[in-house]
Amino acid sequence: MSKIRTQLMLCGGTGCSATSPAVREVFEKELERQGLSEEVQIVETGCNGFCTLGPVMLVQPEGIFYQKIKPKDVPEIVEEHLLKGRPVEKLFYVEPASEETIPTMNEIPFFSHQMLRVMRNKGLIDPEVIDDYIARDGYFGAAKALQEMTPGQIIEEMKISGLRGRGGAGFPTGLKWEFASKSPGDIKYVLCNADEGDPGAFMDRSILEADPHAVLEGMIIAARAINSHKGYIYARTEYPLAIRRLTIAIQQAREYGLLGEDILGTGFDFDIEIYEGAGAFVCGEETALMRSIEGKRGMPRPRPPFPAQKGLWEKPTILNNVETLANVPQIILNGGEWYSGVGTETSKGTKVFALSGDVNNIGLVEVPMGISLRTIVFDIGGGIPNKKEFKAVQLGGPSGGCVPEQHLDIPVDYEEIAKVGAIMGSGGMIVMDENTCMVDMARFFMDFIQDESCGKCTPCREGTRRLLEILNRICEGKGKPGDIEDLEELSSVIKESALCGLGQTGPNPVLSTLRYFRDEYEAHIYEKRCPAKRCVALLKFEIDPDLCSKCGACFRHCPAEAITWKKKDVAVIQKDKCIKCMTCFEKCKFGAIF
Amino acid sequence: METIALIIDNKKISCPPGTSILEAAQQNGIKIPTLCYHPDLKPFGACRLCLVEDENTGRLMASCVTPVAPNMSIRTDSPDIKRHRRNIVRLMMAEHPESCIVCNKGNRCQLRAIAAQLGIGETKLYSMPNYKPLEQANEFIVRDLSKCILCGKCIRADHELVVVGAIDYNHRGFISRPATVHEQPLEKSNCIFCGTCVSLCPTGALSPKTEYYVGTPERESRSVCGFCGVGCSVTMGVVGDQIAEVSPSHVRTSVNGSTLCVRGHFPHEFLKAERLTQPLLRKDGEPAPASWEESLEIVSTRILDIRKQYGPQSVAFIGSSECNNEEAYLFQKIARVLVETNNVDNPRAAYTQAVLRRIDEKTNGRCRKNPLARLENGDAVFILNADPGEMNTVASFYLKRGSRKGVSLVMANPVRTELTAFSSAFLEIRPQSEFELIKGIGALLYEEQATENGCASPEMQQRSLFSDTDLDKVCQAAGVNMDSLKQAANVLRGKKVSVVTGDEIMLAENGAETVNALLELMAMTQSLGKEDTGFYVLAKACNETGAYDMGLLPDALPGRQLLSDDSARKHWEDTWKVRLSPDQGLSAVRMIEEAEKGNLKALYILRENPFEILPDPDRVRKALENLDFMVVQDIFPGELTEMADVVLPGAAFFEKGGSFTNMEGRIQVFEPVVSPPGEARQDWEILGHLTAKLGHSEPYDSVEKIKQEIARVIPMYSEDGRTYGDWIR
Ligand SMILES: Cc1cc2nc3c(=O)[nH]c(=O)nc-3n(C[C@H](O)[C@H](O)[C@H](O)COP(=O)(O)O)c2cc1C
Ligand code: SF4
Ligand code: SF4
Ligand code: SF4
Ligand code: FES
Repeated sequence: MSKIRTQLMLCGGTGCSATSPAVREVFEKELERQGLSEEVQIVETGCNGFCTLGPVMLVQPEGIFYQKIKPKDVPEIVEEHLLKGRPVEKLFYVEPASEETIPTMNEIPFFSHQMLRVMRNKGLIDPEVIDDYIARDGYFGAAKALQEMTPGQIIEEMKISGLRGRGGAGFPTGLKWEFASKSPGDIKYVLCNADEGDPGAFMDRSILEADPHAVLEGMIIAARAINSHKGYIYARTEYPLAIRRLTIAIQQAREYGLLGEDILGTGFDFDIEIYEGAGAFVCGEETALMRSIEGKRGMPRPRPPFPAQKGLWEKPTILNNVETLANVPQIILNGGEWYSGVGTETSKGTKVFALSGDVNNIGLVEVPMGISLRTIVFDIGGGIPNKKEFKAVQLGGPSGGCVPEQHLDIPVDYEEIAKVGAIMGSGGMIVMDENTCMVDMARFFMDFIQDESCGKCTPCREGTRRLLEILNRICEGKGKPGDIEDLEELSSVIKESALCGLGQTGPNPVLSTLRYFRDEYEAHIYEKRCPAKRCVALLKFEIDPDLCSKCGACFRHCPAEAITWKKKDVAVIQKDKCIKCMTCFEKCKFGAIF
Repeated sequence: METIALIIDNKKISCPPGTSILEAAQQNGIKIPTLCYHPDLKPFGACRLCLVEDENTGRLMASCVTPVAPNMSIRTDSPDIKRHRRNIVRLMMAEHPESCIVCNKGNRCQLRAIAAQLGIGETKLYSMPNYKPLEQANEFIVRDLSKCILCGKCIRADHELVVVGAIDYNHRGFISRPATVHEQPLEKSNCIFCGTCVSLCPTGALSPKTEYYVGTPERESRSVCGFCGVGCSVTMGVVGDQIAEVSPSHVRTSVNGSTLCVRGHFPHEFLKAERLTQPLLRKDGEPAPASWEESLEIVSTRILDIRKQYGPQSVAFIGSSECNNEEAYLFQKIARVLVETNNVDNPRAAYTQAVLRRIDEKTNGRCRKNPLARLENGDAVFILNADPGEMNTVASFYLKRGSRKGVSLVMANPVRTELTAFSSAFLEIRPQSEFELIKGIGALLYEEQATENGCASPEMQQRSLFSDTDLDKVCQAAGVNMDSLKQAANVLRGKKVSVVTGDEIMLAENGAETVNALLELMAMTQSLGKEDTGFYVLAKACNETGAYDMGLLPDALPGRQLLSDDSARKHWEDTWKVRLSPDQGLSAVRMIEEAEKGNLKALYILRENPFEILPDPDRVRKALENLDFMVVQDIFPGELTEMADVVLPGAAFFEKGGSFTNMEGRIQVFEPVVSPPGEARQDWEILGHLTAKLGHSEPYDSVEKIKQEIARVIPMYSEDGRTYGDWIR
């Protein structure tokens, strides 16, 4: 029997991996020195989700959670905690709002509001060891699907589960599989979309890094459902760790007879290959992705025909997102009913979000559908840092829209989110505080979209570029009456006439900011004023003497020595020296600079 | 057949499944604007101008890429549709440079036309020109990609129609453009300057390089390209009486569809070359301008005099495979009927015609029609010592498209060519080893057949050509290894095989045997005389087949009938009401020899240059100097016209009416596009006048009349019979 009594689950996800190897090294040395090597095992896990606090470590089985571990802290942990049983309090998590110290992971709000299904293994298994996965019921779903279920039953179970595609469009997964299973043909393909091109999104990467076998298992079940024998995972080249772990996982699955010929002795053959994508955002679009695997330029083509009829190499194909597939094994294992027990009428199960922007707890969270956005931002996310006001949260990245304060109580639900002009999207969630200029924000996304437009169809190629130009002009103080109307008109053209999803959703950030923050646009255009004080060209770089507290913070930080200030005097900016770097704006706590 | 019923603009329509909404609308006279759609290209859905709305769902869709579905109720011009279309065009225009006035596309610009249709004068958007440098270093194509609207037609033409792969999209989004690899200039890419992209480009982004004009030609007429045996349909744009540009005529039934090759598309050199514009008579040893009357009078009296003095064998006629059918027919008729000699030949195509004759003999004329389309849609093609890309470029497009669609190409050639890369098997053979090679491949396929059928069937035993072949010897002779020979046979195994070859196979001593062997191979694979196969002989000149059909040969009468065949001769004697000598006339080579010896006194050369086609130019010159009388009817001045006693200026193919019979056996009729320069005349007209002077009673006063005679007297060309090929206008 193993002598191991304690496991140190050290996060080795991309966010923590900058320092965690160093930490691990010291741990190994210290454990050796203290003679604990036999009893205490270090496990390098996939992303834990709490990236702001990295590197993080969970001590099992007690559930003690350490954050921001530095190599120099390690001897203390080993000595005090592991040897003497006295957890090191200074490395505990401190709740920002209440300043309360919380020792165990389950008590931390960041974790307690979450519901882990897709990420149930995160931080608990070594993703490079298939036995770890199997020990947590891994491949039981695949075994059940292959040995006990007909393809029809698999599809039925998927339909009951109510699982919808997590890649953005939210198409019911069971239905998609049903279409492909009914398409005639001997050769069919199962594809996994791991292109994840949304700026700020890293859900799929983390899943692949933390639990690659879950995705493989999902693909095996999908293959069985449509009778496919070949699968591809289309992964971004920029995800080397994910690709490495997938490669290892595929290798191990083959060795265990879970991939390849005659899987689990059922006579069913299926194998998976990784295709490294060149990284254009549009390659995440399904038809472009398939063309790219075919070795051609990743350019979308019109549908119909749909991939379920004619996909990769003109054969019936299903394409699913990483998160979608990672949900599948448990649905099969526990049943569709179990899965649909969580969520709202039309949105079942859980959803993973990548929480980022102006929020205290940046990281990956998995929440049950139906939870309110407010809970995510304020309870899990810990609210807005620096005592600033919340302004809006952007859902769905560049294809999505923003949700302002007044709608923050809506539940996470495909339809409810769409009603307020945003989309569930793939899970990007960017929180913005009062200092965010919404015109500038729209411009940022439009810049991304026009740059990523493949250029095939006119409305998207010309239109998104034109939207960007107009937004640029507005932000530069060159906005003119009629610009808002042009933005609206062109947005509607692009939305309704573009060929693929990129163009069809591209104007969303413009439309949703216009919907909730039209006054900001108007201030820019008519008053040449940026209310959030972000648009440099619209700032005067003057100090309001009434608001100035005469603290001199601006004076001290100005890199150009352009500010004159004496104790108890109002500061003054010398415009001829000012380089418009915005430092003083950030340093002034009183909003006196305009 | 299954049909789908739907409504478009309140009109009930039914059409076959798979039809796009756009096509369904077009077939019913409903117009939808398009920019990226082209019937020869795969639907693409890029410009989004063809948007329509389904009233049932409110969905907008690009009609060119959306198939009809039952119960659709389509509106092609709802307010939303119109608004979107206008905006799309506004966006294009606002990105466009303001150079319409000096743009080569002129009034043919489709962007301008559509903007006008939609009533867009000003875009009301600030202009955002997308400047790209002008590229015009090459001889043929000007690329001004600032004007590109990214319809992708050029790229798709390059990939789908001519299968070259010289251009593709570069970058992404707004700055994306069609470009060569590494954005090299065209001449540094593998571009073949076929100009297909140019003729499909809707804007002035791609235009032919021309020195004569800018803008829209005054008028356009159709003709048939006379630069090779494919016989592409062309539309010629005319400014004044100058051909300003050539483009494919986009007739769907044409050989070439939307493609052309560099020779036909950009005949700058040809158009620029100095022309003969006036009859010339040698006076005091120097050629001097003369009237038509005087010149033709001299030609007829001198020829008749010489015949009287030395007999009909002293007069000879060298015609050309570039003559159209009417000229060729009339020319040989002058020789046979009015001068009573069989001394008539068209030497340039001698080898090609020899191959055709062999095929004809062996198949009893069952293999005369070989539509190129079969190369694209068949099973397998065996290319033997031929370079279609060089010789008949547009035919090579068929082969390349076929290869992309899964037609297996097997190629045996002494050198690699462009098609090598498209071949499933390539054999680099020794020159003149074709016969051995076919025997090898035949033997490998034969063995199979024989064993499959238990033992050789009587039919098989007959095919003894392949039955006992020493494969090692074959490999040695052809210079190929056994594996590649087997591989080639494997590719062909079990497939219907078409053959493509050229006149080079006749260079070998056993050339005729090679043709036989090819026919055997086709017969053995059950490919001979079938609907989906063909035996293609490349044709360098535009009317090699026609010249043969018209009897422009010393030993063959019109309709591919042998002079030595008594009943055939009888038929023509009755038709023409003359007596025909059964003796074969002089071939061109023999004519020169007889001239050397002083036996040949008079020579009439029509559109041919003996210096180019016979080996020893010095010898030819001496022989020609030995003649008493030489007439040259041509379009360009040169050494030959310098030597002639009479020079008759004729017309280029686009300056006259007539018909060509292309390498497929397709007869194509054309009208003159412009008049010949100066006093030059259409060649049939010159020959027609001459027949009158030589004593023919019926005047040949229109090309139509000659055509009718051909149709009447040559069974292959008879309009009622239609056994051979329809005359295509
Ligand atoms: C421009 C564009 C980019 C996309 N990028 C991704 C992506 O990175 N990952 C992804 O899973 N889906 C992406 N999608 C959605 C896919 O096209 C497709 O709907 C999805 O992969 C289907 O899987 P699902 O049904 O499991 O969501 C993108 C769509 C568009 C239009
Ligand atoms: S919408 Fe944009 S990305 Fe999609 S096909 Fe059109 S140009 Fe390309
Ligand atoms: S160059 Fe002409 S044909 Fe080619 S994409 Fe541009 S507009 Fe279309
Ligand atoms: S292929 Fe022949 S007929 Fe066609 S354009 Fe070229 S030269 Fe003319
Ligand atoms: S013609 Fe249909 S999209 Fe261009």
